[in-house]
Amino acid sequence: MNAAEWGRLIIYLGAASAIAATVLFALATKQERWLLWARRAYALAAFSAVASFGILVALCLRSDFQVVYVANFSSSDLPWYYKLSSAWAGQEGSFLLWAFWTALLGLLLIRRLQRYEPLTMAVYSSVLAFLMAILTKQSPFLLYPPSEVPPEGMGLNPLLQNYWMAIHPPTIFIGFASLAIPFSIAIAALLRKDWDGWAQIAMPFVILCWVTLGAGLILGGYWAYVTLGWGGFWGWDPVENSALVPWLVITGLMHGLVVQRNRGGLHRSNLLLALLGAPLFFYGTYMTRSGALAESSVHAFDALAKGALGLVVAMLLTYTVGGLGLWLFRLRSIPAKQTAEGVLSRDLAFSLGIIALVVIAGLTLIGASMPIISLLIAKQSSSVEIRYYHLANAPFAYLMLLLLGLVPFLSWRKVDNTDVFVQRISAPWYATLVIGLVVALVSYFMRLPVAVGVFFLMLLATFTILSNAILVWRLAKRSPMSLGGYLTHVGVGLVLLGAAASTFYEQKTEAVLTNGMTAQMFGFKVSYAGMTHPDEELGKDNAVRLKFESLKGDKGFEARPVYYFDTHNPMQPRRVAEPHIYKHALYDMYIAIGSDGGGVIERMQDPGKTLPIRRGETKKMGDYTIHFKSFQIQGAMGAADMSIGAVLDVEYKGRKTELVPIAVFGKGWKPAKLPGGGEVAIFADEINANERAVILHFFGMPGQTTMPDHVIVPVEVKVKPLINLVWLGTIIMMLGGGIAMRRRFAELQQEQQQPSTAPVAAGKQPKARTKPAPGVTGGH
Amino acid sequence: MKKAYLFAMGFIALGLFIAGSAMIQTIVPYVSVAQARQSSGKVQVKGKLVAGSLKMDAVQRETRFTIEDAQGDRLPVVHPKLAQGNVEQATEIVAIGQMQGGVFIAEKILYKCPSKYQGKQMQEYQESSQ
Repeated sequence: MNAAEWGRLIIYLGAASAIAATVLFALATKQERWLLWARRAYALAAFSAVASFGILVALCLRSDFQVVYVANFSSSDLPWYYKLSSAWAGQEGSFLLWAFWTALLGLLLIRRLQRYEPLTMAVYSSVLAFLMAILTKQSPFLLYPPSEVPPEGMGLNPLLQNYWMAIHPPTIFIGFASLAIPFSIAIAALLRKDWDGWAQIAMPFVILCWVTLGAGLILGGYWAYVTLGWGGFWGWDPVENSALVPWLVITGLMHGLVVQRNRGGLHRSNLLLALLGAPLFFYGTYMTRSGALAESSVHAFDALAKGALGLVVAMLLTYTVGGLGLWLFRLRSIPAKQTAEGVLSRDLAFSLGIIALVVIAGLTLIGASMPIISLLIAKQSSSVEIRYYHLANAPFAYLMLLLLGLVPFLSWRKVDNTDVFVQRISAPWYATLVIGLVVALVSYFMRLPVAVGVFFLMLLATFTILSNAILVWRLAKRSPMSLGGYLTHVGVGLVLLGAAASTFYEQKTEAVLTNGMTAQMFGFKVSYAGMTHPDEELGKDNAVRLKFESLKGDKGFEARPVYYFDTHNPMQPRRVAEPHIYKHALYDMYIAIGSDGGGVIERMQDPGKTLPIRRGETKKMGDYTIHFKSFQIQGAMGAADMSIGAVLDVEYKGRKTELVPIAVFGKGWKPAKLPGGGEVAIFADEINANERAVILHFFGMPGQTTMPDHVIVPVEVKVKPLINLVWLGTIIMMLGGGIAMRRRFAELQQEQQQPSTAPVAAGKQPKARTKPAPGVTGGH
Repeated sequence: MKKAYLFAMGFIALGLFIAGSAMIQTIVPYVSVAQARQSSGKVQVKGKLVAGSLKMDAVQRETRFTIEDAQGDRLPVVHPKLAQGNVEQATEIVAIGQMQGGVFIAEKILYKCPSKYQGKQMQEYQESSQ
């Protein structure tokens, strides 16, 4: 038996043992003697998931093309790290990656559960069972019959051949897998009717989920930004939304748990949010991988095999109905306690913030599901424009940012001394107003287009940044472990400020460059300076060199965007435009090879002697007298063959001839032979529609011997102000999340080591060491 | 406290109202060619590219083509930009825009070329927008 056959077998073993673990853990809730066997079954299931993933990785690294999956997503010329990433580039591989992390996280979880172990692990094992079962139906280990084994694989999509894309999926799938943890613990809590103990265990895992899912989203965005050449890091497409929505819900849960641990409230909503995270991702999985959107939406994975899809649906229904059903069934016995004692209180601010997050998640979900919803309601499928997400979410984003700015100065229960509160908040508040006024004036005098809504968002984001930065500064000395949340909020403010500025204040210029021609773009003189490998074809490693010389006398630079057609599959060449990103402290200059003007960089020898001419004009060039009579457009064919000719009357030594040099769209040109030797040509991108003019290029005329390069390069430059704030903000967010996670894991460990002193009902009284709000608490 | 709750409720209600009107403003229905001809607002039409109909007009800087929907109805489309890359190989085109005097003016077109790659949507569809 070869490795792939072992892999297939191990997946069956994994599915069977995960089912066994589910049953045994369930039995262990009644009789403890089953617990040991349940753990063994789980260990076997986890081993199977890890081993089968290891086998797939090995097959990819070995370029074993008898395996269909490997042949589809890899090729032998790839470096080892891209062979590795082909292990999760496809549908089957990504499910296996999901199962892999689920299995490993279970091993981390099981050690922290204590009395929660049997119930939680029964639920958690069932998730692993579903994933392994899906993999039996959609196996990555299918083999070609020996006679059909391809000699070479199809290769990894060049867009995925990127450092960031190699680490994005492994990161985000930790997040997806960990969504099952709060879900499982919440189910156990509902069955045990233990309304506080679960929060203690779930807390650090919820932050783990938040950090990994968040980091995965960021890496994906960064990849899109540096690779795709369309200039954005977020496009609100279903694949992105299906990760964003659970992340927002988990963010809400994380904050709800803080309230519950400190004030003993929000029991109902916390359980609900814990139960929503995983099913929302299952729903996203269904939406993006079922082809459910294929009829109406353009963005989706290829459809899963029918059996596998059936299991995804079963998974979605089981956990949605099971979770919500149990929650509703228990709802009346879950305590509901109002903890806020004043309008100015953290309690109320947290609640409103959670509502804002959940509403944003909900509106995003509705937008993404519109093709399905509209089909059900109106029998006609519709989708929303990207604008919807901006417009609909804006009020709640404002609310959230305002709260984020206020929270550092609020105390639990209520603010005792309103005057002190007002005094403390005035510094960031007035600073924000001053900054806002300056920006408004600058925008006015520079005649920048100002959208009021965007401006307002940026103002609130600034307020959030300042308020939280002040608190981080104070806490850094006193209790650095407790500043995670505030640090994260500084990051959130920075991300939203940077995103708003770079999206809505973006400026764009396009130009078509040829040899010897320069264009002025954003204070630079731009010229084409050859290819990095002039003797080679266009390709991934052959960049276009564009010289950017500063008009202000500053230092210039050379941009090296890449543009080529991926011909791994010769039948379907694919345009790839990797941008060059020129980093400045205040903005990014995003330089990409555009494609208006034919879609191809055309190369030939020599621009020759050039003569711009309008229709109807008569001009002289050497011994030739040329009259440009008319255009001759042959457009009835496909784009590949579409051509434009310039009909010329050429007089040479008393003899008249009609010549028609032709530019063939996207392909090149057909020069016309000049009487007396030499040729004349026109190029598609130089045809000026408004002026009805062309530029004639003369080659091989007397006295012209050498033939230098002639290149036509359509360049697109975008200036994205303050985009660095997005990246800075994401780093700060993750740092803050990391600090919070460390703190909560340490707390859990401490509490579990001293079970007698750790109160189960953590919410009875606020603990002194959690979330101090300096300056407001402590009787100021 | 009561006032604060009422205020919060009011704000949320207002936010949801704004979200609802955003939905109404931005929703773009997928329609058949026959429906597109009757429509007055922005719609999206999906269909196959009629063989030989694609014309890239470099002088007018626009792309013209005809699509045929599942019912076999044909619709001439004008995309006021030279579309990029390999549109001629498109197996499926989605045109987003509105009717203007018998012609569909597409501010944005999405086209899917047969792909050997599975995976993310970016590989599946290419986009050309004004």
